[in-house]
Amino acid sequence: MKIDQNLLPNGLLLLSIDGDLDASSSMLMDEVIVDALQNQQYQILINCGRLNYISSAGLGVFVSHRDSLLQQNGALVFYNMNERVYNIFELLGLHNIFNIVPNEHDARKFFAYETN
Amino acid sequence: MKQIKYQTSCSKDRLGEIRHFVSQQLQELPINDIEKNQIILAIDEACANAIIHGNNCDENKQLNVILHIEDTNIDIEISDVGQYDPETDKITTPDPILDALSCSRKGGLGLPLIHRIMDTVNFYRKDKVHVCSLSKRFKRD
Repeated sequence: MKIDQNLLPNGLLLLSIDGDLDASSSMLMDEVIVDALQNQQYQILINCGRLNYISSAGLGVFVSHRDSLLQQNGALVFYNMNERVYNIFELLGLHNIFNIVPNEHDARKFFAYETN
Repeated sequence: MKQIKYQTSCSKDRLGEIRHFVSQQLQELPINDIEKNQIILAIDEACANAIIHGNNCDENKQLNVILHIEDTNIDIEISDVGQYDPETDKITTPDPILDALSCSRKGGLGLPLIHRIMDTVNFYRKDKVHVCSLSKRFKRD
């Protein structure tokens, strides 16, 4: 799995995940979010367009950082998620907990509304 | 009925290979991609638990996966000789999802996923061998 990081001019952090987010790769995802928190980057867009697969280890990383981000008026916003990955969020009811939107435009809009 | 065995070492790096193997075996079945992915996930979760919690990621130990596949259902047996905490195979809280969210915990979601996907989930020991037995009847469109 690969994670591309791109800090956008408006301060949003865009993470693009490429590959499988499972028990062997979830530590990398965790390190990237921990680094973001340390750099005070609390508004994080996650492009799932190339996220092929997610297991509980990957979901657990997002669950574990959710509160820390909310406390800083931040959030994780997922977009471009395929049906298989969305279904795994659904199985645990996490599609109602996390912000999952169709595309990058809507993901950016989410933070625009949050900030205003 | 088709029965296929797969043997690998107890390393997290093997999980991708296990998923690939399972995916190939499910290819011909009359079920959709969502259901195939759920079965792959349930097996992945059970194998990850065995590798991490039962065998402490010891690559010298072996993990065995046996699939019994029919047109209407699948039975899976995942076995190893690991040392397990008896709590590993149990869901110990009434709402594990809420619990993980309220404690900001990374772990504890794998077993609930397995239970939500599979029709039956059993863990038992046969002599020194720890076995996770899963089964599912396929949905018909």
